[in-house]
Amino acid sequence: MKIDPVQATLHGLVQTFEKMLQDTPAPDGAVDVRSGSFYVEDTTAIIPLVGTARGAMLVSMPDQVACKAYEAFTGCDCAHVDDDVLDGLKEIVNIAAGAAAARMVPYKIGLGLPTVMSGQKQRLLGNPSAPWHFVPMKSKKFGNFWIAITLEEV
Amino acid sequence: MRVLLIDDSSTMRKIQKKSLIEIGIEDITEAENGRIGLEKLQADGYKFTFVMCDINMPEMSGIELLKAVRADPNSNKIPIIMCTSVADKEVVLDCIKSGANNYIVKPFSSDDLKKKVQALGLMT
Repeated sequence: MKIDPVQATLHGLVQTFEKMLQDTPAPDGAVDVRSGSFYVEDTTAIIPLVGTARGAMLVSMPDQVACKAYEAFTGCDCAHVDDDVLDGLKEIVNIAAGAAAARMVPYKIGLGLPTVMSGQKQRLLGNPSAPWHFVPMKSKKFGNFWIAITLEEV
Repeated sequence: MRVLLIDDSSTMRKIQKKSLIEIGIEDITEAENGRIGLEKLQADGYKFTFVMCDINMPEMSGIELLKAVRADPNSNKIPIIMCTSVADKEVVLDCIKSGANNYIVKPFSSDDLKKKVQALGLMT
């Protein structure tokens, strides 16, 4: 069985948004393969993936998108990105990664602990052997954001 | 209908509470781990209609709570729905073997939750 980690990630994210945020985001352009260091959006949640393949998945959003997504996710108001909003994004990436892992069964992927970063002009440095695959996403309700995955077989 | 909602994530409790309210359940007691959940169950006199419980939690996990509830004759009939973010066959089997009545895999919608509650015969 051929595993496509990008499709699995997309599936996990879209399923999470449809069921828990009542929205259907869609890819808004080609997959952007990034190696070396690169900038991400204001609020970025990352979760490690471990198994017979290892890597990580992330969701990266401008603050205003994160705020709107949090409101739809929890039913609570969001005036600005505080710890509650960061925790909300952490749960979104956790759930989306769980759903993505279910589409990559042969890799027996388990989830590590998610972490959220917040602030402007953040740069990430990936692993040279496993570039990140970024997918631009468009949501009519929330705005544009990114999902990404890096994965290598062990 | 009274529900005991156990999850260590305050965000997940907000989301699950929102889903429960959407399906018409408003009497909800929250607990942040299995130990506190068990204490609230006992303090309440075991009168909850059902328990909705996360699996991975500090102090007392969902599986440990399940075993404790099933071992107590005062509470062993209370329906329990386990929540998991990974559709892992072993985890689900462990829940069922430990006495869970049903399980729900995140992500889930309010409709998905309603179907799980209906499957317990608690809602039409």
